[in-house]
Amino acid sequence: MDLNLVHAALFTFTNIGEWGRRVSYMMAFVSRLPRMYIAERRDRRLLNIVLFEAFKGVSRDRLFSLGEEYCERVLIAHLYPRAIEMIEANRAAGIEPVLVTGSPDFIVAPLAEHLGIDAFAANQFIFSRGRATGRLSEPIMAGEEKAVWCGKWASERGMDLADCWGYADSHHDMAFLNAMGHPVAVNPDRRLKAVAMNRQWPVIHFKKQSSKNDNDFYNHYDFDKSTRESDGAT
Amino acid sequence: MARPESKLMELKPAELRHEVGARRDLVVTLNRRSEKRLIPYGEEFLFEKLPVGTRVIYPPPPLDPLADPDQAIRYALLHPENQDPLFAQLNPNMRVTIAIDDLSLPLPQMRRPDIRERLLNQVLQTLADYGVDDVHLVIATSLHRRMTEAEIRRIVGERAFKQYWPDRLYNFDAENRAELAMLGKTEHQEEVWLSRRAAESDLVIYLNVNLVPMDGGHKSVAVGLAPYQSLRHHHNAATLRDSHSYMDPTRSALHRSSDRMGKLIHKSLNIFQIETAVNTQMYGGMLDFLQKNEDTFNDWDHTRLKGFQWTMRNMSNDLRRRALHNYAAPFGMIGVWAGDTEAVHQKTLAKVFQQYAVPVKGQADILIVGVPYICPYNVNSIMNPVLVQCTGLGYLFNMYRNKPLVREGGTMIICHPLRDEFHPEHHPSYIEFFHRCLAETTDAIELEKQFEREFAHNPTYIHMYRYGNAYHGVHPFYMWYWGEPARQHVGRVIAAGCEEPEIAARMGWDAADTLDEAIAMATSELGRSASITYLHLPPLVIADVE
Repeated sequence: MDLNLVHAALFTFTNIGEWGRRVSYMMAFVSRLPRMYIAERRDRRLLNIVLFEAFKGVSRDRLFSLGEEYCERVLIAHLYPRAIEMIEANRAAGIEPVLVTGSPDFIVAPLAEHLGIDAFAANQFIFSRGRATGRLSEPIMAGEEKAVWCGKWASERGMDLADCWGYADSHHDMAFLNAMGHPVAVNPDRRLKAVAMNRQWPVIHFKKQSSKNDNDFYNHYDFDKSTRESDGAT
Repeated sequence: MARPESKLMELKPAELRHEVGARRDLVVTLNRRSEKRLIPYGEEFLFEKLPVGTRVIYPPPPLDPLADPDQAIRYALLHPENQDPLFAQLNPNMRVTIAIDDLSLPLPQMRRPDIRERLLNQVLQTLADYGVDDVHLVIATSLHRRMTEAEIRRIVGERAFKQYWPDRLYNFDAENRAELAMLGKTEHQEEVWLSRRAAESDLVIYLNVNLVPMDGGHKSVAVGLAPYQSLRHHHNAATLRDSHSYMDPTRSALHRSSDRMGKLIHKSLNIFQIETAVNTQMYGGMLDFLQKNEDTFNDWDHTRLKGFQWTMRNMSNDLRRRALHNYAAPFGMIGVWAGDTEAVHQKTLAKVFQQYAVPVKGQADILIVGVPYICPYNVNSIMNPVLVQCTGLGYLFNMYRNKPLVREGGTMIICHPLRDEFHPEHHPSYIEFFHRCLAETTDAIELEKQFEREFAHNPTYIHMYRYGNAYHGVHPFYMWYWGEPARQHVGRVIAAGCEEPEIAARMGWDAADTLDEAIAMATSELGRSASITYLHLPPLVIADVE
């Protein structure tokens, strides 16, 4: 099961308010686990639907403040330094980063802001009178919907997905990676790794620890400028 | 190649065998009674009957290895060429960088102890004896993939590994901008970049393993410790087109360029070059029949060949690859020299040519080569189609001095299954290069113009090169340029035994199911009287074509 989503949900429920509410949300969530497991086995979209139902009744303000806290305390603290470097390197090379995820927008928005990413696609709750209804607004970001969203986003900007690079770590993102001209498997799960090897997709491994000899990647001599200047002479 | 009689008298028995007896029999013309010939075919070997009249060129037998390699190394360090002995150049306050050839040589990997380990042990001991502490060991990978911990341990040995890994023993990183320094420009406006650590050292010691004459010399430092910004001046289509051949440094524009860079580097750096040469003993023990003339095969050789073929055929791809790459060759060291780069390299070249050169009369209309499972760029990895191209057209075509073995406009037959297989972690940019760039054009100049810079600066490929084990993004372009002299020279390339014809077509080659079919295709165009030459591997041979 997608532990990222489960972790985010548990964090939300254990910080949601008074003890009584916490226990009540936790019990409701735990009772949903078998359904979630079955749902994920059948369809990733179903998992999102079942999982996010557990958020029913939580206020919008609370969700967004918890989202910010989760982002700050968990996500940012666990970002791979090399991943951030690569986002920056891509940006420097003129490749705009876009975040496409099945996580809820109240978590993704602060993360995107932290990474300086303007465009992102995430699952969005439907709210009624300031409280989550437990339903998600369409399109639900899972499986093929990610690829559809990317195609639409690219065509609106006159871009071709064949020129885009896509990074994902789960076999659930196969449709998304298939849609990209340059799919890359990042710390892939077993099934995605098998597919990557089979389809000859590049595989990247991010590690927590920096390896020896890893200095700042981009804050040094302007190499590209030097190359450009000397191109005429060669 | 024949030497005056007076010179022959001075040679040791094994060398004499080389000069007189062996080389007379190294060019064999097949007749009806001739045995089938072994031909490398990827991870297998073909055993095929070649047409009557085919000329087969065999490598000279391996030279006798040095009786005591450690003693020879000690002697070289004490009696260097045009330089003071190593110990006399040392003082305790100096900064020393030892650059070491990576695992791309020799091929297959050699049995332990690796020559580099022997060299290192003595060099490190000398440094320690003279109180030199500031020592870094850099694997001179240039744009090759980072070697893994296990691979580094294998070539440097336990002692150096335990003492220096990982802080003072590491792979060169051509994309770590803080660790690079520009030394200047040559008179041809070639930028010379180098590892900053080396550039700022009081002494750079280069440990080289020379497998073929293309290796070593100024190329060691000027390429091994240099980034893309330097390499692009000679690793390009125009320079490589002007190299005839890579194995003949006097007629290679690639070597002229790296020599210019090397000379500039020598102006600002004190380099102590140690070069070694190995013999051609690639296969020994149960596999020694692979190096024999097939006409001399006895029953035991035939049995071993059948057993080998059966085993290879029945293993899974993964297991077969693993078994082959784990094989360690019993190479023997046939020479070691130290000191001034140019003086040392002249001695190395003389020895290497003594080992490899075979006089051959005239060119052929059709040249047959078999591409084996390994080349310098797929150690512990997959031989992908771009590398097959590089090995066939780049390396094997260039195994000549004076004139190519195949005439201009002739046909080259390359035996390899040519499968659509790439290693996603070692060769990620190769995949895009093959499926995207080659789909648009196979013209090296056009590829260089359209795509090279994009790949060289691609952040994902740079990341995979720096932190993974991937070859640099620009590397597949170099592999393609490597085949450029052959592409300019031959009229047609046929992939024999090709399993996926579309892969051959992507590279502009024709495909044939079998070697017989490939020969028939070639002779149907060139005529039945077309002369055929088969360059026998293993091991390696350099043809001195008259």
